[in-house]
Amino acid sequence: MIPYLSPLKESIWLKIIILSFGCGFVSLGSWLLITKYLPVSDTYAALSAGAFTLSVSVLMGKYIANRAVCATDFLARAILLATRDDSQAEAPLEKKLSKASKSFLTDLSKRVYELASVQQLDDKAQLADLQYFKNVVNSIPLPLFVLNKDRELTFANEAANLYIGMKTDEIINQPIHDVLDLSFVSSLTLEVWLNECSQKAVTATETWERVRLLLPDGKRKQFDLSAYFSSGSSNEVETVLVLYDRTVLYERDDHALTFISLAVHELRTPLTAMRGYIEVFEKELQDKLSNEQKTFMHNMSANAQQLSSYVSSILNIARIEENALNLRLKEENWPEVLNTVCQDMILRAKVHGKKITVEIEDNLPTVAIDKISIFEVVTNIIDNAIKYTHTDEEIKVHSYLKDDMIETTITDKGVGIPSSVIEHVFDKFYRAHHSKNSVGGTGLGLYLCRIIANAHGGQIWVNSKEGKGSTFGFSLPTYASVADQIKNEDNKGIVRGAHGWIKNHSIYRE
Amino acid sequence: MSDNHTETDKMKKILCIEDENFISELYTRALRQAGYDVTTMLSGEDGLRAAQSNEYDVILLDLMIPGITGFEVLRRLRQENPDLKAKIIITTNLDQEHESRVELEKMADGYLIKAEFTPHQLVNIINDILSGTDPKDSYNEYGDQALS
Repeated sequence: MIPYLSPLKESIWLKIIILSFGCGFVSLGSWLLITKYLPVSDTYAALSAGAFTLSVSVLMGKYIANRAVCATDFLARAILLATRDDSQAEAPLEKKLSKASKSFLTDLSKRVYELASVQQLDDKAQLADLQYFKNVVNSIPLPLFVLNKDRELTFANEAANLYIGMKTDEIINQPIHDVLDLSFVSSLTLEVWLNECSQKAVTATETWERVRLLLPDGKRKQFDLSAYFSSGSSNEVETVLVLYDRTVLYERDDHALTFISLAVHELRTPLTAMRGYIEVFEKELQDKLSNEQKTFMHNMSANAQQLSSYVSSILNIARIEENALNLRLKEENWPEVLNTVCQDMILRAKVHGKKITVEIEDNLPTVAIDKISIFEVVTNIIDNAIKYTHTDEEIKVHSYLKDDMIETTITDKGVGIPSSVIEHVFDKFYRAHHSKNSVGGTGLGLYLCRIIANAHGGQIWVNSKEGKGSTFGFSLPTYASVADQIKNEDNKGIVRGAHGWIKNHSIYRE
Repeated sequence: MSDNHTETDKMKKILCIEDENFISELYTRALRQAGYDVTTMLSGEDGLRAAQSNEYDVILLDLMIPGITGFEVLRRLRQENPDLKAKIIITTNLDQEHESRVELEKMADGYLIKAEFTPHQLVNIINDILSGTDPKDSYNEYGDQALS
């Protein structure tokens, strides 16, 4: 027991001694008085004296207990008051205290008060700090999102709410990919990066350019995105995202391209009619035309058709530059795909008196491709081989596995490409050398091929010697090597934009 | 083909909602030669009213038409006429953005770019649709890409 409490103990002890003695005297005295003055038996006198003593001692005991609990009561009130407890306890009164405990209890409660007021000051300071940082975060004009371990939004500043036009309570605790429909230019999407981070990183930062956001109301935003990841800090704050809006800047080009899309529409309308009328004549004049006229009619039809595919190519380019052309990657049997397209090309080669041989390695694994786009790549390259081969040398198509890519090469013994221009053949509107006048073309074919091959995650290349011929090659990833990107997607394939726009959460929403 | 239709005395009816005269003339001609009964409407309102009579087997719907757009016609047909028997094929020269095209394809039975199909190729598609082979996934086999 601490020495402080000794006086209190002694005073209680003393009171109990006095009470005991008092009780003794009272019972003895009352017994004597009863037997002396009242004509009752001894037994009755003893019982009466005992009852009287009991009543007196109950009253005395209660009094002593009240006095003894005073100290505890005082202290309890002092603590409750100091800690601002809401039990509405009245302030402790000093005068109720017994002399014995007065000095040390008042001293003790002073200490409690002091302690509590220091704590309150701390609380106030913390609140002020919190408000300060909140103000700072909210006055940052950049949208800022905070994600927890489960990639749910735990905080969005005012700029963020404004940017996406949603209120805090609509987005808090929602998974980030439900709130923000993001597309990225590279295969390293936010989701992929976060997956990598959660596996191995303690802290990491990453920045993306030209990220696209599609809002529920159909509006689009484009911005650069910075992310900071920290695994240890707190469950609620694992990733912080900051958006730098670039919508105006990045869309400036898009507006110019919308014009192309519209122009394409206007070109297509008369083209549709022309092709229709040509078809009517071609079919219905069959019996009336000379062979030469029939050939002319056929040429006219072929040219109109070519014009329509050029118009579509131009639109495709416009699309690619708008980054809006989407590829739908699906698992395909490559020999089947390649054979199908080569059959068509063999027929076309025949018309031009050329021969194509196809050699496909056995047991090739499946590939992840967008069939229609890959048709375009193969057709374009073989078409060039046919156009630029002026001899009857055959064109060889060869496909084989190399690491986890399937490579396909198309070799011709045609005119070849001068070394001075070879690095430009995959550029937009680039047309090699002197054949410009003799061979028709848009200068877009190989550019498209490169864009499509790259969007698949593959490469495209050319080896050529002027006068000796060219070998064009492209590689495509095997399905197995990208299957992990595809597996959770209801077998609908992954959507990948040409230029590699990739949905953050790559579920194909159809 | 035309013999079959006349024999059963049930010529299949096609509604062509198209404001471009040359194109509707060509489509009408090719489809009539193939034994179809063709009606042409020039505006969205007229087209919608005709379509709602529910007497057509196929509706060819252009998107850029005077009055309410083809998109709106399609939306209202799907909303107001859930028991419409006609197959709706969007015929347009406008390339949609991927998102809107996906949305359109969900409501329509086909989507094709007019410039990439000759009237005869269109007839083949309609023959296939009406004979039950759904060519939805393989339009490209009719278009220029495979024919080239």
